[in-house]
Amino acid sequence: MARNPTRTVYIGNLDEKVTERILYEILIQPGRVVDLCIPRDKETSCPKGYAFAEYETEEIAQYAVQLFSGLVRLYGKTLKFAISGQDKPSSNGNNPRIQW
Amino acid sequence: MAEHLASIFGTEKDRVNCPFYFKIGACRHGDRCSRLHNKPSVSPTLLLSNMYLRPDMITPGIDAQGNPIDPEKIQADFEDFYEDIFEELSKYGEIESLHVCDNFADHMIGNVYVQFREEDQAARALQALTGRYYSGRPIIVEFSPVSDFREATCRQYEENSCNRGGYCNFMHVKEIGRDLRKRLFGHLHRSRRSHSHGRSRSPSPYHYRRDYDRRSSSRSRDHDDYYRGGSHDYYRGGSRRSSERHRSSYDSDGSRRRHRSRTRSPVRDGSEERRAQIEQWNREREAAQV
Repeated sequence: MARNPTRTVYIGNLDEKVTERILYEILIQPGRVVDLCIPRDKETSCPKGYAFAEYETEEIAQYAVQLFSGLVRLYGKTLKFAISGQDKPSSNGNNPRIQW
Repeated sequence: MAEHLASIFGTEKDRVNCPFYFKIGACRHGDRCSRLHNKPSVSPTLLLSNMYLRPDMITPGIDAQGNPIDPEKIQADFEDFYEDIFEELSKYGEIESLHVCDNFADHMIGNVYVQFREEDQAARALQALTGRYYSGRPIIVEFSPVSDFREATCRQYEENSCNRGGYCNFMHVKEIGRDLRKRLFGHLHRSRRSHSHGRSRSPSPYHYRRDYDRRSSSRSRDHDDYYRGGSHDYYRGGSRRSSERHRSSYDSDGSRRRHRSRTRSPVRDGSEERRAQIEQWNREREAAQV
């Protein structure tokens, strides 16, 4: 059941109104989506503002990132796309990346 | 596993110290935090908790009776407060910076951070302020671990683009006008310049402002991730309901699976259900294309 990071796309800067179905309809453009998850805060049940989507193959995932980066806008927010697990270099080396 | 990837994505692996307390000096869990708050025994920075009583306590821009408040009046009242505090704190030493939080969350609302030049000046101020009152309320003062306010403040707030509003867990520092800043900080810098044993760093009337201006305007994702959440998830043994509320994000896969099967919330889709749903969407879409 472990997800394959190289086939999984990270989607950031999601508005809380974005549902799985809306996101699914967008993400199927480059290829078949196998899994889609929008994590929610345990205390408030509000979406945490990002999602993970797994495609059938690595090529589809990489193509999706190229296709969508900087171009998809939902509820006034431009979505960020990246292959899951590939940490971006921090612009501020002193700032540890902490997420709750 | 999506939840596992989410929990480790961009996560610092420090399970002991509370990064909110260390960096910002205020943690929403307070003394009940599951992580360590290393309270400094001495520090050049003091925190006066919830000292600034904002007139719009409930809704921004609206007073307790529901009437709109003039933003200029709010600013004038705030600058009176700021000057009050500055003059009183100046008695104990030279003030490097004085920050007042514009945040709404209980652990940060009205917090005043004052950074002295020397630790002993801060210690003297702490001793003098303990047990005293301001506006009829006791002053709660303590040493703060914050040393670099550039790390503690919310950059997006300064750019007027913070989505979290008053409930952001980074400092939303309320700004004073240029005239007041020149009057309060300019004098100190001029008097410092006259010292015969002056410091190597060249004084400037706008030292405070320049620190802000030098700050990078680029918004790193790490910063976004830092304040997006506010709760520390941790596992605590005991009742079923308790474990459901405090399930740990840092458990191994095995224990995570066990916890989920025991405490599954009805609104939460399991991984299997979610994949099945997507599979159904895939089938519907392929059927429509035929």
